[in-house]
Amino acid sequence: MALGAMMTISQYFNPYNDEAIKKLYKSLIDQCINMFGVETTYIARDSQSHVDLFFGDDPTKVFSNVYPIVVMIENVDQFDGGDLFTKFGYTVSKSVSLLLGTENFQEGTANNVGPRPREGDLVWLQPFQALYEIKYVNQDKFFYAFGNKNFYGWSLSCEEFRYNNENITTGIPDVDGKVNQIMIAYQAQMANGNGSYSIGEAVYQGTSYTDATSTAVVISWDLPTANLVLGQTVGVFIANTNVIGLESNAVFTLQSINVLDNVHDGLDNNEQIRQEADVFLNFNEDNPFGNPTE
Amino acid sequence: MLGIPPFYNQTIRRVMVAFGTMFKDTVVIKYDANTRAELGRSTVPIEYAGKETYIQRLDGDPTLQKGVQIVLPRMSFELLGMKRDENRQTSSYNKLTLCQTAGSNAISSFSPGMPYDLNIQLNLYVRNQEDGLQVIEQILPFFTPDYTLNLKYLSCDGGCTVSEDLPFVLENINYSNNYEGPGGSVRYINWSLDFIAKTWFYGPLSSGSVIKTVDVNINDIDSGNTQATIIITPNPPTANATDDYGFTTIIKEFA
Repeated sequence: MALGAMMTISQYFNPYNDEAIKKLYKSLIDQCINMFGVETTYIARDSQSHVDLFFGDDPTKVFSNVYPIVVMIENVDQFDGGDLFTKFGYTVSKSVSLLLGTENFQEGTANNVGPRPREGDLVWLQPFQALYEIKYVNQDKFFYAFGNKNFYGWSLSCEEFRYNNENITTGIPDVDGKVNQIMIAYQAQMANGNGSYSIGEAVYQGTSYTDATSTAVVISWDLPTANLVLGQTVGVFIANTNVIGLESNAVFTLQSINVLDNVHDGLDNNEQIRQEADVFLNFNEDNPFGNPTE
Repeated sequence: MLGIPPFYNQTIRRVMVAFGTMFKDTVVIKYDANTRAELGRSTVPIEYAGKETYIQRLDGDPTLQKGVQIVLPRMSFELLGMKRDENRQTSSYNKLTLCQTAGSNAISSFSPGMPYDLNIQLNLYVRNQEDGLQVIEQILPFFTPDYTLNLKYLSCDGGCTVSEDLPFVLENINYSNNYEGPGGSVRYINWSLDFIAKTWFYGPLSSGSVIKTVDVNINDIDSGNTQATIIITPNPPTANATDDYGFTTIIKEFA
């Protein structure tokens, strides 16, 4: 027998060209993920302007496009990492690895995101009520079982989101509710007015919303006490000026707003510093050489 | 200590709070990359670092359902150490007085302070480069290389205070952008700014009566006999230190 004939691949056991085996393998993966996975929400990243290609980041990114997907959590009994106490306060540094099938991803996202999940996008893990950011998409998880061009799924390395006060509006109550609990928000005391603001509506100061001098989103509103909590602020809100609800048309006069006190941050000291410093910081401009009028 | 009743002027606490007040209202704005229109703004949270871990845990995640890792950008500051500054040292014999306590004959006095340099570090943690650069560029122009506040170090019962200028000198700026690593690594951007606060430490206030009568005897140097006595008192005698008063001078001559 010639040596060359022995080196050929068997035509009966060639998985790289057998579409049926590939399909079976793919189906098994998807089935496993569907059986043992959890329903999650894929939240795609977008930009209010564009990605800064010089510094390589995007301070204006927003998250509003959501897609249902099923992922299987690879971690067996706990998250990787853990909680940290740092000089910047308490940090929840948990990470998790998720298995995502290609077909599930394409169907779930209706091909709107692209051919694969993207680093920087978010995954809302419903069972854990937490936002995770995709740090790395590992395409080698299934090690090209039937050739390099065949992706059967990805392993997503995710960590809890390092939130930068991005605008995350998904329309999913759990997600939006969570974001409303963590976003930087300030309490405003309103004076006289009429109507009642709606949670989640945009409010503004100015002649119209398009020509507004400042805008924000209502996080909470208590009519009896006239306490309004505002997030996603743009511009400076001026006291003794009306704040108008875009949808509710409620109008109240702003009495005061404290932008030193983020109501969702239990560790910041901005307002405490202001109050304490008022006692012993001396802002009197006395002439050290005496009063020239005497 | 040293047989002196305990005292605590809260000097270090006041210096640290004064330091924090310079940065408490630092704002980061998100700009549209094309039009430079404002898209959002927020005050950068600042905190004193090194809180008790139970405080961090309870206040940082009270419901255990934080749902995100951390909210950025964020600043913190902490005291790293201190060193005596011999260049500002003055004589310890210079007793300084404060005002007379209202309604009494007492007056407060204190010894000169000990000059110390406090090393304070300001840390900044940002997600985006632009956020960090905004904060840094808001800070740097005001430290030339120092920015001075006026701090009330001591207060007496009469309401007077010992106020001294408190310069904060910006010494070093360190920037760290850790982005290298295997797949799954993330970028961490940290800034740390080292400051020196040129502060004073004062001892306790002491209280004593106001001297209202001065007797001066003029003696003959040879015989030792008193030739004259000069008595000086305030006019009116009930005047306090802060009143508008004159002096009554009585000269008694002896033959």
